[in-house]
Amino acid sequence: MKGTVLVVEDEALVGMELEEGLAQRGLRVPEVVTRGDQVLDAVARVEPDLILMDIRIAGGLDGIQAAEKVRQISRVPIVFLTAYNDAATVARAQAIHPEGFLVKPFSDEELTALLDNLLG
Amino acid sequence: MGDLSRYGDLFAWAPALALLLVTALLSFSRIFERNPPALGLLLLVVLWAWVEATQGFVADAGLRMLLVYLKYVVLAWIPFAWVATCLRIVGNRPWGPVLLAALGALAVAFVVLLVWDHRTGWFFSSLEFTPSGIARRTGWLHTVYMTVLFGALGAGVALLVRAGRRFSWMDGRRAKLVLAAAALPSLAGVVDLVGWMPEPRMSLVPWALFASAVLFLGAILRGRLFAPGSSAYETVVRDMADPVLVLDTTGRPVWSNEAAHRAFPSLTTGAAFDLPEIEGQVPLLRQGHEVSVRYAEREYRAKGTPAQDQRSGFEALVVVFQDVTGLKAEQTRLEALVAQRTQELVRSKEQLEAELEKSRGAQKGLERLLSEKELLLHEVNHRVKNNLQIILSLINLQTRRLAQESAAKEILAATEGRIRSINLVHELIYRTEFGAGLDFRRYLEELVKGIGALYSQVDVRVEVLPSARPVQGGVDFSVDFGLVVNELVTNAFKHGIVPAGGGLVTVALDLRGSTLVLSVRDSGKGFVPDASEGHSLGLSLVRAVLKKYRAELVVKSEGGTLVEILIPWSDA
Repeated sequence: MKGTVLVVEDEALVGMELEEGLAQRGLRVPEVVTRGDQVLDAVARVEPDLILMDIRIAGGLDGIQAAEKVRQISRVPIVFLTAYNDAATVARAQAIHPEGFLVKPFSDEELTALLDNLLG
Repeated sequence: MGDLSRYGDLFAWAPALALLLVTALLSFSRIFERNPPALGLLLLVVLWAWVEATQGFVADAGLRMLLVYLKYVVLAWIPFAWVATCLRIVGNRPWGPVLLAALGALAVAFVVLLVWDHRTGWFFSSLEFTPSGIARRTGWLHTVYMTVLFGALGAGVALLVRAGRRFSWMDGRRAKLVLAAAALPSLAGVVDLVGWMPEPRMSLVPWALFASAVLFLGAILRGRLFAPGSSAYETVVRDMADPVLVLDTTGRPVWSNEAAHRAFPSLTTGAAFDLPEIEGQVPLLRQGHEVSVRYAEREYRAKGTPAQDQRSGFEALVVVFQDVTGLKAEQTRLEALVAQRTQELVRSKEQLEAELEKSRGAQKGLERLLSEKELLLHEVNHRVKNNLQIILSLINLQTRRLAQESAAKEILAATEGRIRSINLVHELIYRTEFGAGLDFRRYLEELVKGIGALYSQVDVRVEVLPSARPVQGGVDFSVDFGLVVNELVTNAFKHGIVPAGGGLVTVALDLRGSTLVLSVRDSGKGFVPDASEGHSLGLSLVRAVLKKYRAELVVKSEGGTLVEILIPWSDA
């Protein structure tokens, strides 16, 4: 599996595990962004093939708002990572037509299936 | 004129004749209803005085005789006018009965006088019937006596008529009958006087008296036998409780009932209106308006109705008063009551609104609390899931650093499975309506599906058989239950399916009476006791949970392994 993935996750341990897991699958993870207001710059810098975006992140913008900004400059696929799966949050997220959802805690198998689907 | 001495007796009879004549006349007319008798009395007295004063100056004997005759007529009229005046007053004044009693006494005196005369032979007994008339003594005393005598007779008759009309046993026709009866003896006397009887000693007077008695009796009987006449209705109006006034075209009260006199003591019928409280309202009453009249601290509602007597053409305004003092007082009381009740209602409404507002405030507070609680629960759930993700990430990081197929890796994988079973409980509880229990069937389906996904490399089918009735439980039990299912299903895969390279795992949940039965069956080689398994963490976990819920574990080898867990169950 090849490609560049931008991970947006403010939980260090989760970000680290994702970075490692993705790398193990042959994917490039140039950096893990932890703040919403840094996402746009990172996208411009990294030009990822996929963004794994946590919804609740620090930095003034949450994951959904950051994704909206990204949508204005890029067609890169976005997958939301969230422990929130209530109807209101899902509806908000659906408004920007993401390519997928991973509900925390997600398994390796779920992540693999999603990556296969988007980058395989 | 001829020999006037012949008419001397006629003069003596004249007052009686005139009295009866006028009585009859007045009975047939309504003169007294339109003209006050007192005025008639005054005119008669004036006429009498004039005749007395004039007759001395008249030289002609015939003319003087006519004046004398006129004087007697006037003298006869005077007592009647006096009686009529009295009767008029009797009908309208509270002391009327006293006057009536006096008149009655006069009539009795007349009877006594008759008896006395009969015994002494002073007048009637001295009459001498001759072919030329009745010879008898004459003189001023005799004339006065005659006048008083027949005046009293007239008064008695009038009294009788009046009483008859008053007590409704005599209407106008019967009154005329009575008067005719009274007049008969006098007419007979006239016939005697003028000498019309063929037989000198023959007199019509006894026959007339007899006929008179019959007529009296007949009138009385008819009055009692027949229904009351129009005078009865007049009586009804006179005696009715509401004041009634009859005003003539000039607005003067010409008739009033007794209630009107009681209500307006200063009212004088026939006189100018002396009740400004009513007089001021007459124009409005004429126009048919209902007016309010205040008099002597009482309040009346008055309504006027124009009326006309067809026979005499007399036009009048009939005013009926209704005493509304009590009604007004009641109305005032009711209005006060309504005002009081309204105030009470307003107070009650205000109290209710205040309580409602308080209740709304409390409800808003509760809603806010509930909202906060839901938000908090949401946040806690997010935290739990996030933390579980962190733990899983930690395990994954650790797992990747271990050698392939190592025992530690297997342990971490089992731990991950247990953590996922716990996470699933939180996930489902989070999605379930607040306060409701967890649906075990759904939990089982998702749990077994998750475990099955871990063993995707083997050909496996997982079936979850539905229970007969819904089974629900709390979070604590669900976590324990999930751990047990995780262990049993994982075990079925590990020891039943994987070694066989494929197969079927069937998980069933059933309520049998008061026992919840969870069964996990695999299509493997069957249960093979393994000494090392007795000390495994998975089995220890299962035992701990079984002990906690006093549940039983049954293991059977039936074309594979069947593990049943029997948990004492109560829906409550």
